[in-house]
Amino acid sequence: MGLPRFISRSRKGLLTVCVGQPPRRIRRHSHPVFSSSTPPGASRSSSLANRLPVELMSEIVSMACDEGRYEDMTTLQAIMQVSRRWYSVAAPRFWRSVNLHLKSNADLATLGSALSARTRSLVTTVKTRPNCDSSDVLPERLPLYASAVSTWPNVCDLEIEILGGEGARGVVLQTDLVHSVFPQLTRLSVRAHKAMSIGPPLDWGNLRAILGALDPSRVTHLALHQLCGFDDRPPPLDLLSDLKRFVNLTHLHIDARSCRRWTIQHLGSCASLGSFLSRFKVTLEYLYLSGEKCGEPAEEVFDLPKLRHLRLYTTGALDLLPCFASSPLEILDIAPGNYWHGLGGASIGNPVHLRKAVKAHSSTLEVVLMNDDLCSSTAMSSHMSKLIDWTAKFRVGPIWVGESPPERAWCDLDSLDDHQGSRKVDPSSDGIVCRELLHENPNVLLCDERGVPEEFESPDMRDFALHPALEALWDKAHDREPYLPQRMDGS
Amino acid sequence: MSANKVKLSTSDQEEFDVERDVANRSVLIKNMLEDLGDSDQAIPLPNVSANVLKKVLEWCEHHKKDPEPIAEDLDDNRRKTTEISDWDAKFIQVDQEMLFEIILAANYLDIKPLLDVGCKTVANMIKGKQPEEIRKLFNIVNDFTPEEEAQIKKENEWAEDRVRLLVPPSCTATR
Repeated sequence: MGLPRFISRSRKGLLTVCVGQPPRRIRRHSHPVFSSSTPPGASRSSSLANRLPVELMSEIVSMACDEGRYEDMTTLQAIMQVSRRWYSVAAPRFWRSVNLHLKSNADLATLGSALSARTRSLVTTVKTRPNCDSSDVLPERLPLYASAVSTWPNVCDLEIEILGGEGARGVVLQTDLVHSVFPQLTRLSVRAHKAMSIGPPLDWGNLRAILGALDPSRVTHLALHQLCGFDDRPPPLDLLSDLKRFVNLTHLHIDARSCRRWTIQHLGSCASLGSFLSRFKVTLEYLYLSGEKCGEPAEEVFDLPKLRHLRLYTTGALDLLPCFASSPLEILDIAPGNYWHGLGGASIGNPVHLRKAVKAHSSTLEVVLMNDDLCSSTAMSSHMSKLIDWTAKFRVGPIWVGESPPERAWCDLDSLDDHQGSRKVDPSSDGIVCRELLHENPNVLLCDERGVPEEFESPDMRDFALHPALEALWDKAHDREPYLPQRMDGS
Repeated sequence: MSANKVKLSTSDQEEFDVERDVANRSVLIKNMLEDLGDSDQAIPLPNVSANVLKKVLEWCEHHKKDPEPIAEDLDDNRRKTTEISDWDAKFIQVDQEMLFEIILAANYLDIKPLLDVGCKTVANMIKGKQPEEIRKLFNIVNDFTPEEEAQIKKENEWAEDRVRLLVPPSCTATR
């Protein structure tokens, strides 16, 4: 079986975390009941394990392999090889998601002969892009991705990266995919690749072709990443009018940061953000908006009764918060300005709106994620202590996100399913949240790049200043009992 | 029969007088009691034997004051295999046959928390083991044909991520 493999798997894809050594949360423990090497009571007659209904076997497999944020693929593979019955339970889980980016050209070329038709039918989620902005997307791999995707008959969740020039004809525009795969998708994530060395920039027509190939009644998740990778020319105003056809969208992610002359008017010629979003009133649960101009603060309160997870990465983001006052937000993620280049003088909006939003959503809000830029901005400074006080009163956990968070932590976060994934950011996990802070104040979760427990144990690791309010919390936490990872094992 | 007690009848015709709040841990029994109203009739449990029911009732007695589990109790919490309370861990320290009988009974009687304890225990037994070890542990016969085994091996090899280095270790994640 080779080296043990531990894979962080979101509901949308796979991300290899490490090889050979399990991440901290993965622990090999013998079961707590039978500790001797001889299996106690080991089956006397026919296997009792095989008498279990399939749904219970499936539950057991889930529990054996799913550590919350990680999936223990080694155990899953072992279960698959036990017997036909256990294979039938474990294989759909093992094969449901494939990351083609992690495959060699040779693997991709031999896919048809390597995997049986049955196995290929189990694949539902395919990812062809890395979790990061890398410049190693090779145009010649795109046709391989396309031919691989076309051999999986049940793909319904696809993440693709599209390139300019010849590469644009790769995954996206191959006729067979357009006719066979795209119409059956329920989830699509597209990222425009901006690497100038690869060729001419993408044409907006590519995006239009992608959207046109989808069946708008089936699609529930649509993510358009890095629209700035498209043509430098301003997009035609009706470019995304097709978005209005997607009446069943539950998740919408539009990343138009650094996209020249992008305005809300490009969202299907809508006069306002409210008008655009009203299309998805009945379904929308997750919304990500980034860009220099995404809406007007004077707009009315939007009627989005199902919106639970809001991410605003826009200039003046705080001023947009009142628009979402009537939505049952559980997760609020705010990063005004340009995520990559800091605020750069951009307005964050009125900080009072953030406090008001926390109060308005107090019955539902669970997590607030805020960029360090926001915490350290002068405008926000006088509001931080108050905000912390307020969030502590409610069941809200603010998570501060550093500019340079631990890479893996962010890779993990980034790979998580948008809403459910965020809930999986568990206070007892490594590197995400300082669990010490939970001991005395369960309402406050605090995160920054020093959240890794080992680092946290050493105050000397702190080599930069925190906001005073956070500093106080930090110091308070240090007075408490140190982190004891073995507790998580119950030992 | 006291109004606070209910009578349960097992597959081997044994009858148990049980406090109502203990019996109510089972959603199946609770629903049946609501349907039957005040009745002295024993509730038949044809899928549970006396020795298993006795054990299940021991769990129900200990947990009779637990709050009702929240609808999903968020899957994530339920799945954490490490989270078995000390009492439950000791309770489930039974031979394998009884363990699976408890799981089946909890499933039939619809006692979700007990079912979770049982499943988590089995899951912990499976974790980190090789296929042969799992077979031996549960006395499972390998019913794959040699061809099927070869195909699974081949597919597993394909599944190995040979080109991990395509993701540069220093890459920056996008949000």
